[in-house]
Amino acid sequence: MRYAAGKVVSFAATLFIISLITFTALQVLPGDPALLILGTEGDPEAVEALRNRLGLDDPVPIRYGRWMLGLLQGDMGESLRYNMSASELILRALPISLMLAGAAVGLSLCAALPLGVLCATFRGRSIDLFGLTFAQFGMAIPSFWLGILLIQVFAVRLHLAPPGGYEGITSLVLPAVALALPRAAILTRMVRASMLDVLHQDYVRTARSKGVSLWAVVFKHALRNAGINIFTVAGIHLTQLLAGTIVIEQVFALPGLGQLLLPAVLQRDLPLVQGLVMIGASLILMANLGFDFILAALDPRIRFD
Amino acid sequence: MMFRRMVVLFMLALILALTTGLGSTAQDLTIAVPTDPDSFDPTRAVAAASWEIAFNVYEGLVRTLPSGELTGGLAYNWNVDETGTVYTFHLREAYFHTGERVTPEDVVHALNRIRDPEVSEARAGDFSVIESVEAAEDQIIVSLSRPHGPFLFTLAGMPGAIYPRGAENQASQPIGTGPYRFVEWRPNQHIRLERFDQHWSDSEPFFTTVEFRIMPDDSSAVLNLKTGHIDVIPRLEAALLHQVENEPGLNVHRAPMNLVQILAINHQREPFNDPLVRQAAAHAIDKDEIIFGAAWGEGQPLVTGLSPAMAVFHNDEITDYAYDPERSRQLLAEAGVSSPSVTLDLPAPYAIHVQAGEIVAEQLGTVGFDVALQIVEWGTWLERVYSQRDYDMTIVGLAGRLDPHEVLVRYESSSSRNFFNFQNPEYDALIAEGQTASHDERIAVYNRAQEILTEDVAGIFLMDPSQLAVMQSAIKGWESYPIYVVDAARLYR
Amino acid sequence: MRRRNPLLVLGIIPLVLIAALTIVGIWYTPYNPSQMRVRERFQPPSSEHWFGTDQYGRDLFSRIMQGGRTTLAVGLVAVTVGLAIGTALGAVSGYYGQQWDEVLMRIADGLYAFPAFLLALLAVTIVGPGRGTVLTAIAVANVPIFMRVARANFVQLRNTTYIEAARAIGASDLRIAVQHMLPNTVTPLLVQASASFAASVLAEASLSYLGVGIQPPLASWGRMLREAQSFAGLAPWTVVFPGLALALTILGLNLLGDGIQERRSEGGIAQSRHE
Repeated sequence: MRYAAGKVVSFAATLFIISLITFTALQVLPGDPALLILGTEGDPEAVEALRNRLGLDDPVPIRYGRWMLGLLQGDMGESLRYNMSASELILRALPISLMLAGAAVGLSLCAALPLGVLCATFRGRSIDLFGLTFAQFGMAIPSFWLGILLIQVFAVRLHLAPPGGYEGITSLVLPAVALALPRAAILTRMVRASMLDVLHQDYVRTARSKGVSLWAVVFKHALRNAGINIFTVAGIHLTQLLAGTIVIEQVFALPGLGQLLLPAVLQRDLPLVQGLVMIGASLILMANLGFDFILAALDPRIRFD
Repeated sequence: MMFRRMVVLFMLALILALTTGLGSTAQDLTIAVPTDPDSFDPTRAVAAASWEIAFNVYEGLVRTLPSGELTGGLAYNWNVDETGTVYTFHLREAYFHTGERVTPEDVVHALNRIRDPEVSEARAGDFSVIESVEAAEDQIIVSLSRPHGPFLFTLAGMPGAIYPRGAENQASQPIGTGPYRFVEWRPNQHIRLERFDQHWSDSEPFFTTVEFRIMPDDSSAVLNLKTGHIDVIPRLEAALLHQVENEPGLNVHRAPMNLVQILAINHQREPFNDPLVRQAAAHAIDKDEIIFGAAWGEGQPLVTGLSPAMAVFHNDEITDYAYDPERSRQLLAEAGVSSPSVTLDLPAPYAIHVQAGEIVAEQLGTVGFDVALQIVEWGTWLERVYSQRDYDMTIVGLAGRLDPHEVLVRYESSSSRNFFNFQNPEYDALIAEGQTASHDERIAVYNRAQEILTEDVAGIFLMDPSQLAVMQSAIKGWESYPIYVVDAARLYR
Repeated sequence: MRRRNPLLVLGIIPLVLIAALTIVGIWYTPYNPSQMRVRERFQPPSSEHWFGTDQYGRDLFSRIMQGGRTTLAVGLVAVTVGLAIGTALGAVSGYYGQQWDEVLMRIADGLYAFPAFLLALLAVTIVGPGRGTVLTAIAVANVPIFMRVARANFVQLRNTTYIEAARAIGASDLRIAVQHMLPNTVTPLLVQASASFAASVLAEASLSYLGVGIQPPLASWGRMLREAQSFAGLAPWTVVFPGLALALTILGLNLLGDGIQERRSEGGIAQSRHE
């Protein structure tokens, strides 16, 4: 129990530190959002009035306090660009990004698990060579390039999928494939390596020599070991997945979190950027928390006491 | 035999019914726009993208026509008294999207809000000339503190939009009186509108629903157009034109954008404080090459600070500085400067200005200017170039308006938008005169004002890029406006 | 004589090829890579323009040569800086242990959670896009990765009899670290360096593709792909070649890393004899 409590406390502390860093980093720096909103039509009085309404003239600690107070009530402030609640904007974009990321994880696991197992089981045979080659190419092909090519082939030439934008689930198929490929490649190598590890352990050799079937060994021990290895680094993979999602959303013009973030970054829509960073950080930290618990359940060496 | 023929006919009818059934989108219209509105609240919105869509939802007392002229909106007619300061508008029988009748009090309320600097910090300035707004039966009487030529045009824009008293959430749930009523806004995805059947107009719009789909990436929009996922792209990047030109099933409509792309010059800085150097620069610029290179040939060269799109007011008599590098070198020699070094700031997000800048630098280089290119972020540009006027030369697009005053007032000495630091007493007097003059007098006044801008080389006016509207050829009725709007009610299939 | 390592060879071939093109590009390109000849736009690959021309009639082959310089330079500098700082910090952490280790590794863990790409995006928000921003952010993201590798190896070596012997004869900390321990961590650091190089190249390309990385007039492969996406149907070569250059570079670097790794496990015997 203490293990769990400790993890949760460190989760909250990290989130607090991130909020502090994001806020100060963004707010202290030059670049006037009011000026950006009014553009070439602005005159100094209008800019000043707008700064006033947006509360940009208050001292930083007061603004941080106000923001934090709102945050605790689920209010991230109003996006400067959309004149709309940032939380609402994020909540609308979130499902698309989550579905995309989820589909990519699903796809990559579906490809990597069987392929990794087969490679390890038939090490050095042609299936292994195929798996390793697939992994090398999968890691080398940038997903945004793959995305561009997929659009040309499947949307423009074959009319099998929408060429971008969001019209429903079908719009997520091509992006998910593009996003899944590099993940699948890395996972295949990981699964293969962890399986090989186990297959060469003494106890496995003993079990095999006593007549336990190869597949029994694979499913009972090796996969569990692979699972432990995967969950140990799952956090890193998740952040990379998040980064990949931002890029792929751009390729396919998908209205997810990335498409919200990029213009917000360039237009200094601070409330929105802050909200997005907080949401992203919470998601990653929560997922990491989840991975830790799963790992603890899988791996007898980590105890819950 | 009869029977067989009937079966065949029946089958044919069935196929026909099925295929037309497939095109169930017949009365739905999908339009691709690059960005979301910033707000539907008339007191808040400043982005051009907002009025582009809201134009279909809101109406003011007067409306803009595709020609740029005005017609009755919620007012079926209006008159001005002899002092030019009291406007009387006669309200027609019109209904809000909620079904309630528009009352004079609603109009007074909306106009009082937009001119209140506490409520509408960005827009109140445009209405500061209003002294009072009063309702009398079905009339609205607006009194101005002084005659103001552009007044009616200001009323026709988004800030003049009329909405019901007590409407709480105009920003994201706008209620207006326009031919379409607002249904849904999903930021970054789409805005949906539905035909408003109680609209006062006799001609009912063809499309029952209109969806504005947000497509920040033009190439993605083009792919969607080609595959039939969208019907109209109102403003296509010229670079992508050749992908849709000559494509069967697609039509391209060209119209001037009413945008002044200007090579702005800081008149307070050396060497440009010398008129000879400014003229030298003007003679060094080949506008046709810039239009070809930066806008793919899709644009019209400008001779002054007003686009020819403003047909009535544009001065067609002005002769431009001819492209003449030899004359340019001569003028530089006369001015006594050799290889003056200048910095050209270009706003990074606008490809058309950056590319024009690269060509300009080359052209100025040929006659002896030593040009350093500097590509800056838009935020930096606004702060340093526009606000602090800390620059030598820059290229930017100045959005056109319906009234010449709004465009030309920028060059007046005391204007806060005069980032050129342009100064000419005669010009200032003309701008003041134009506000109170009659329509015909204004034409003469602004013609002279335009001459001064060219004579003094207030800036080097490069081009008005074409607005390229691309659509399925089945879509008819497209009209381009000299302002940034899409008029969905005119379209039909 | 060890048998030739096929991965190493496979990895080195595309890398040498691309590096050579890039280096030659500093002095010579078939055409001026930024000069626009709009009338010659979208020419398919030919003997005149090997990779065709882009939407402004610029020679794609020349642009790839020039873009490679930016892309590889950012990767190289980011990895070198990350390697130098990361190894130094990791060595301190691993050699001294205790509080040093505690503090340094906490920071490293915090940074480690951010891939180069996200860190750079954050940096762009704060100081605006550009080569310097991207380069610094990627370099910073690389530091904790090298820290971990260096630390793990130093911790392992710290307690070997070989190092204890050196300490017994009175060698200074610095001398032990640099002369005896560092050479033994070179291989894992090199493996990491090629992986990080690949990741950095990809991060820069992704950022430039999004428009927040390298800014024009500098060419970069990511930026070229962004611009070419609009013309993919019309002029597929504008998409194919920059992507291919990118993929080959990453493939080469990954294979190189794998090759060094494999060589190291083969050479394991030699290493233990040394101890």
